[in-house]
Amino acid sequence: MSSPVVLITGALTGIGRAAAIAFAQEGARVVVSGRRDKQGQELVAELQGLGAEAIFVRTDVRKDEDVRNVVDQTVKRFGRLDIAVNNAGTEGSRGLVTEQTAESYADTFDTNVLGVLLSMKHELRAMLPQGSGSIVNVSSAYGSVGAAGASVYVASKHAVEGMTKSAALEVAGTGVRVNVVAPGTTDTGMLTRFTNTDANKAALVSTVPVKRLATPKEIADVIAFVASANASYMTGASIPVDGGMIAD
Amino acid sequence: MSDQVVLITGALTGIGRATAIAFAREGAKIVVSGRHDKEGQKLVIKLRTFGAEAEFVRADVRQERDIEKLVDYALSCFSRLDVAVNNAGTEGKPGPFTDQTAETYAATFDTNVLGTLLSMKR
Repeated sequence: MSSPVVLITGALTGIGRAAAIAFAQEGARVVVSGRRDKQGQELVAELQGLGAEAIFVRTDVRKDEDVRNVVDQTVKRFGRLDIAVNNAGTEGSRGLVTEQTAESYADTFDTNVLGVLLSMKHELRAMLPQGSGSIVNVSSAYGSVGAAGASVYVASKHAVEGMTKSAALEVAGTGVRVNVVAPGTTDTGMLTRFTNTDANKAALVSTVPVKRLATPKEIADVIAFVASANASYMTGASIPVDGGMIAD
Repeated sequence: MSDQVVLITGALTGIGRATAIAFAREGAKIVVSGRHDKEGQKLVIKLRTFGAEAEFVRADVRQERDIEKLVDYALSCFSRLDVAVNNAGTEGKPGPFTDQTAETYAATFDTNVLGTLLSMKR
């Protein structure tokens, strides 16, 4: 697989963007998706500057027809789908359980859970007939531990962990692998929004054993490894990349 | 545990029903909830045969209004709430990922996740 075809959701910022660059540097053909045309085209230009073939497909992962379309466009353009990185996610609205509503729940779950479900569904539609493929979902350290004031986000990432394991079992033996990478505190716009103030961010970092944030590239490099043939026996696995956070 | 006020969602069958009976035998005051009036009233009668005070409130845990009314009713009957068992759940529609849709997803998550979230909130 000298030049695998890679689809990345939530590719325009943070970890998704770093993953797009990491795959482009390895010579992959890359389909980046997200909700903003201008940033999407800018990213494509950057990836092409690295010598990669790249296209942008505007996609809202909450919509079945959008997810179907991005997979169809990928196969139409490149003839196959080898690697899918389901990274699109939202931090949702922080707050106590007593402050949550059906709306705040749906805002988070529609992207983080339904989005990953629909993405896997359509990616598997392309990968199963090939008899090969590698799906990497992106959850969070909060996919395996709780956090006061973040119940909805935590629940959504626990759901991603559960869906990953179930999907891996469903397709085990077909040549398709499904795994999940669980980043800890990573230096992204999402973390800045999630922590809201510099003081909150510093307080969170102080709880991380390695006492610093991850760079998006440090997460992307693990995603690229898990996606690659170097991890060919790995399926149904959750890989923490969190500076020791959940080991503590 | 006697005299504790206990609220149980999904109380009409299975684990929820067994839990209601277990609390009734220990002398708790019980509010059972579920979506079927007839079964709810039958369960209340059964719980009272154990000497327990029991009430049924029709509630769909997917509806925040229903849960608010349920908790308010428990408070109006017994003036406190000591134990809440958020048991309402559905097995959803088993099937491979490639058969799932936004609708099958919502049918399961609305009850199992949103329902528990709203119940804890109230």
